[in-house]
Order: sequence, then C-alpha cells, then structure tokens
Amino acid sequence: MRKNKSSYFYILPLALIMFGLIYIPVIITLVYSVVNLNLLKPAALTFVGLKNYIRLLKDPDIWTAAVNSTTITVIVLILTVLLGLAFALMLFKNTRIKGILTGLVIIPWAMPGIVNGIIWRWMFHPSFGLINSILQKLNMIHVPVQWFSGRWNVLMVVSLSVAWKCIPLAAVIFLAALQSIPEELYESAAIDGSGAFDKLRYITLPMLRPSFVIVLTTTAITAINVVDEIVSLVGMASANNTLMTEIYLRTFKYMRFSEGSALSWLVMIVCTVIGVIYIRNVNKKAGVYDE
Amino acid sequence: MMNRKRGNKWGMLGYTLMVLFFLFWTIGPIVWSFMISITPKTDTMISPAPLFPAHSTWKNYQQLLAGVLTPGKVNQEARMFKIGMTNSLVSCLLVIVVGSPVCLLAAYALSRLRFRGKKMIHALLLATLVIPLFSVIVPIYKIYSDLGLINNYFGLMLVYISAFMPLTVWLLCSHFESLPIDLEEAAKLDGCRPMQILLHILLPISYPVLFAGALIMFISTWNQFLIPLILSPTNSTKPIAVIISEFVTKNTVNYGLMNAGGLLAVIPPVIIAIIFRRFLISGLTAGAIKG
Repeated sequence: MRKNKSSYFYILPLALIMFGLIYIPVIITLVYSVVNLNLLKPAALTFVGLKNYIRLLKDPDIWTAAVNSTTITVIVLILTVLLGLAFALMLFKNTRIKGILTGLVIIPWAMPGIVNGIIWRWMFHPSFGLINSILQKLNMIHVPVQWFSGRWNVLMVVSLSVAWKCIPLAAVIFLAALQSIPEELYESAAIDGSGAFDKLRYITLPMLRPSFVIVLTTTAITAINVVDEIVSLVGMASANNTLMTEIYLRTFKYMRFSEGSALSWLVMIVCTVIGVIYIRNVNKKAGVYDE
Repeated sequence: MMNRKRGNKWGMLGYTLMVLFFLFWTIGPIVWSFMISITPKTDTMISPAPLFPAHSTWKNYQQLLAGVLTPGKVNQEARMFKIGMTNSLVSCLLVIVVGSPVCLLAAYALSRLRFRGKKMIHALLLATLVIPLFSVIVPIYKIYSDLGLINNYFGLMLVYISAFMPLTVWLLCSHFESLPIDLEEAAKLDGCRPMQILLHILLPISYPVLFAGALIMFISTWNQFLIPLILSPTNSTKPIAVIISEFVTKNTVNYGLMNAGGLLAVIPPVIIAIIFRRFLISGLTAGAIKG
C-alpha cells in the first residue's frame, strides 16, 4: 500500500483528542510542577526547579499515603489474582448454571465506584453491617468490630471493595486464557495418568502465565488510581489518605497546584514502570499468536 | 473406576462450595444494600442488624422516583435524581455517537493504512493508559474555563473519549487484523477508495465488535465520578454518580435513601451488562489481551 496524505484524515480526530487532552496537558502539568504557581497572582510565576518534588519527598504525610496506596494495591492484587482465577475455573466448568454465573460475574465491574463504596460501607457498618451481624449471630464476637476506625481496618475495607470491582475483569481474562489451552494437552496428560492437581500445576498455570502479568499490571494501575470507592466509604478528608486523595486535596482543596502536579508526576512514573511490564507482555503474547 | 467416581464427587462438592462463595461475594453486598433500602428508618437503629428486615417499605424508592413513576409532590431528592439520570444518559449517548466513528477511523488507519508516524501514534495511544487523571486534569480545567467548556456536554465527552480510546481502538484493530485482506485487495484493484473499503467491506462485518466497544463506552461513561466532579460543578451536566455521592455526604442519617439511590443508579449499566454479557466479555478480553 502506498503512503498517502489522505491517511492522515483517518487518524486526525484521534490524534487531536490524544494530544489536546492528554499529552499537551501532561507537559503543562510538568511545567506547573517546577514553578511556583499562585492562582491569585498568575503573572508572578517563578521557576523553582525540583523544590516541589524535594518538599514532597520530605513530607511524612506523603510517605504515609504511599504506604497506604501500596497496602491497598498489594491486598487488591492478591485477592484479584486468587479469586479471579478461582471464578474463572468455576466458569470454565460446563454445567447447567454456567450461563447465569457468567452473567453475574460481570456485575461488580459494571457498577459505578461510588455505589460500590456505598454497598461495602453497609457490609462493614459497625451497627447495621452484615459482617458484624453474622459474626455476632455466630457468637464469634460480642462487641461490634469498629471496621472504620484504625488505619489498617479502613485500608482493608477499601481494598476489599476495590478488589470486588477488579475481580470480574481478571476472571474473564483468565477464562479466555483457559479456553485457549488446547484440549489435547489435558488428554495426553490424562493418558499419562496425571491427576487434577498435576494438570493444574503443569499445564493450566504455565499456560496462563501471560494473562497473569496482564491481570497484575492492569489491576495495579486501577488500584493505585482508586478514588471513587474511598470517597463513598470513608470520605476524602480522612486520615487514611492515599497518593490519589493527597493529590486531590492538595490541588483542589488547598489550591497548591504545583505540589499536586509534582505528586501526580511522581505517581505517573511509578505507573509507567508497571505499564512497561504490561506492554512487554502484551507483545510477547502477540508473538505467541503470530507463530 | 471407583477412584474416578470419588474424584468427581469431591469435584462436585468443591464446585458447589465455590458457587456458594461466589454468590455470597458477588451479589451478597448488593442484596444487603437492597435490604437496607427497604428497611423503615426506625428499624435501621436495631443492632445487630437482623438478616431479614422485620418490616419492609418502598418509601425510599417512592421518594426518589416521585413524579417519574407515581404522580406525587416532587421533592428535592427526586428532582436531583432525575437530573442526574438524564445527564448521565445524555453523556453516554454522546460518547458513543462521537467516540465510535473516531475510534473506527483510527483503528482502520492503524491496521490498514501506511503513513508517517504510525508507530509513534500507536505507542503513544498505549502509553496513555499509565497517565493518571490528575496529571492532565488541572490544565484541562484551565483550558476549559478559558474556552467556556466547563459544565458542557461536549467538553465532558471529549475527556471521556480520550480516556476510552485505547481500549476501543485496540478492540477494533485486533478485529481488523484477524480479517483476511484478500477482499480488500480485490476491491482496491477494482478502484475502491479506502473510505469505500471501510464503509462497504469492513464496517458490515464489524458491527458486533463495534457494538461491544459501544457497550464498554456506555458503562464506563455512566460510572465516571472524578472527571465530572471537577468539570461539571452545576446541575446542568452533573451525572448520577456525583449526585449519589452528594446523597452520601448530605444524607448521613437516611441510610435507606442512600442505598435506594445507589441501587437505582446501577440499574442501567447492570441490566446492559447482563443482557449483552457475551459481547462485553469478548470485547473486554480482546481489549486487554491483544494490545
């Protein structure tokens, strides 16, 4: 196919949106992060270099937020991989209820994060929550557990609700990978006398490897960026800030735009590292298909 | 033979337990939220909460839908609720109507046409996935206020499209690349122009994939919270997710109303997800696995 000027017509709308609303703003944000932006005196811009970054890295609140974000991400990753895989194996089995289960599995993904937070708030509400109610009926606790007081309790509840939303996508990705494993592999393993566990260990899990990396990277980026669930579970101004809520509060509440911009660039660098791992594996997977 | 039968029995037991856990995990929180939404206000003070409410009431739903389903005095909550649902619907339809052609044209160019900068556009599109919203939103806010695009459906729509472009474009790209090119080559020899090839050869066999992309855009737009929180400060474009978050912060006492509002707000995306689950699941996996 010869190169043609008119090809640009097809890509132009996408390119305009992509540069206008993503790449140009990202560069402007980088500029904000190295100046002293004061909205009351917009003309009095002064270049401050890396001062904003250094102040952030010295701020103990940022390190608390970083630990909180990391904790949420790790719990979400563990739950998403384990339950995503378990649900995928469940959906892979041909039974009469398979169709209904497939319809149900996707529901949490289709719900707004805000509503997701509300729903989990009532699961863990100290007085009217289902979890405390069940625990009390089973006589496992006598005093209601205060799920929303204490840093680690809150982080756990937030992680559960975020994992709830991430698991559907993981389950359907794992399911697609399971369906692409050739039946012959299992048949020859059965002839060799392998049991169910051996099949899982030596065929299923190795064949799922590329999808593991995809699930881990996409889930990690989602978990780092989570805001909606936090807003409706515990509110933005709580002591349990993550990096994202710190950026929001610094930018939109305290109007410290330069600090917020610098912090968002720091988070972006972390996400880029995760993204590179993702892209490499997507290409590797594509390579396997091409052969 | 005996051994195999016993294995099946254990397998069945494991499967049943898995299904029960899956049901509790996936729809348990939603059912519990529904229980609270039909519990009369006075009964939500009982602790520990009974597993089934002793009395039930539809008052919260009637209050939110006043003037929509039942003739009645329109209260503040019902008014806000109706505004939010309408605004969300308008945003979703706009994103589909404008986003689908933008992504279709771009996917065609990226998979079938040759032009300078193609590889770069492809890489940049992939890279947008790691950019957090906060790294772009302050400059966008500033540009939008200068252009008068705050509280504007068109401005909001462009930001949404910029966020959903990568997935939709890949979805279409991987579909186009799976199609045999012979027919298009023949059409070109007959003198068809690229636009004719796209509209008359590729489009008719791409409706299912385009539909999957549209569904994902609909649900993702409906669930947006942070973007409209910043770009839609007034009722003219404020979507339901932001209105629901205001119920959470303002009606801290009325638990039932909060849950009823949240559940009503998820009905459109969840119904769509259940009905069209096959399209959605194939779209989500293709978008995530094949970059």
